[in-house]
Amino acid sequence: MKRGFTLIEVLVALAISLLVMVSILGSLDSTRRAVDAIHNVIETESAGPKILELLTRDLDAIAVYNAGEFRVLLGEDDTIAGADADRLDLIVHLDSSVPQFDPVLEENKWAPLLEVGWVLRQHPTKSDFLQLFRREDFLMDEDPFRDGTFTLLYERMVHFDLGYYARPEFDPLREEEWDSYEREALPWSVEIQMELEIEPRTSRESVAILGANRARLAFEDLLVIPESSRWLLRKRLHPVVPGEEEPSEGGATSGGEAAQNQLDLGASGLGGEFSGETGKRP
Amino acid sequence: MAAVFLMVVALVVLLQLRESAMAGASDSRSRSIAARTGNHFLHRIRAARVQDLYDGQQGDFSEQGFPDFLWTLGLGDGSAFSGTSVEGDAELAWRQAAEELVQQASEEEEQQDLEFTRVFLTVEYPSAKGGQNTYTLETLLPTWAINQDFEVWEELWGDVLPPEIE
Repeated sequence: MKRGFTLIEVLVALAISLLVMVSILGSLDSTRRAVDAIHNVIETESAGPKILELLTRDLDAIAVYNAGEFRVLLGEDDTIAGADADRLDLIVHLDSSVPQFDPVLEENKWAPLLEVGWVLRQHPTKSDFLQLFRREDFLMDEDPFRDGTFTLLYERMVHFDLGYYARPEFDPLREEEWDSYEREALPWSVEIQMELEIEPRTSRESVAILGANRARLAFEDLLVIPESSRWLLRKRLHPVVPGEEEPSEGGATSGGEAAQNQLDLGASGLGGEFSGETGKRP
Repeated sequence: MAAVFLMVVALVVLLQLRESAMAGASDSRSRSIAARTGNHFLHRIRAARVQDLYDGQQGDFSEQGFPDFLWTLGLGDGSAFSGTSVEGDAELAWRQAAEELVQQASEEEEQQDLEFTRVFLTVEYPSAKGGQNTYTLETLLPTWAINQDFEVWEELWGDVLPPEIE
């Protein structure tokens, strides 16, 4: 004799299954929200500080030895679509992050001296945002503040503003631009103010953790350039060939054959790509 | 019945794990904010932009948008506001020696003219599980910057250097 399920049994089984399914789906949904929230938390606290850390590292490593005659820092005030989008170019003593392949030795090479730039451009598809790039070029070439490899650091920048202070004072004057070639000195400190927006993965939990309207985050810092760098640039320290006589007049930085020899020596010691003419103080 | 019971247990465990992960993420974010705001404050002191600093000074980071984050400043090797717990013998010996030095100098009424001053910054912030957490930073900063003594900076690094250095 065949015995099937009664209608009541089937309905009860369906109700239990439904309850289990609802519980599992609810749990999955809340887990997804938690993942979103944790993603937002991590991104919030990583992007801005990482950018500041990278910029600090560049400013701490400005190449000043034997660089008194050349432009090693150029900060330009700029705006894109009404937003601050300042540009900063530097010559730094840092290992390059992007290697170049040496076809002779058949191995990757990392440069000890770099042209570095912090550049912004408007986002190609989202007009409200700017893209922040870090430019890196091996050694120094004839145009040390252009070209190179551009690495995208962040693509949802709202603004990026740099200010320069010449010296410590009670009420220091903030300057929007700085040219180490014209000023014959490095700024004493650099102020960074930037705002960025995190990826829009919002959820109830992330709002609870991050607070309402915290999709846009402002970061600022005030970095003092090492006094030793400023001092070395101002004193025009340069290599000297032992036994050769110093120029009789005008100090170590004046023109003349000996000074040119010193510069040539410095350029060849840095890798030889530098022409010795570009940007040289007359 | 047993299957339903197991399912309930599994769901409860899952929800507890989720809550724990959220609390961990929140604490991690708070610690990052404490480190960032604390470092920014130390950078401002390094740039001689904070006036009238004194040992034991307290404040909060409400200007940066974090009013729940409180700071306490300790100045000098022998500061009672270092915020660090003494755990090792070496640390204890160093602290005692530093305190004795500071006391000796104050007894002899000698003006200590140290080039650098040790600075402790303790940031206190709310924990996701209730209570307060602390994050301590310690660094050496130029004494002229802490005192905003710009004449000293001028002598050390100004445009006109002393003849012996020139």
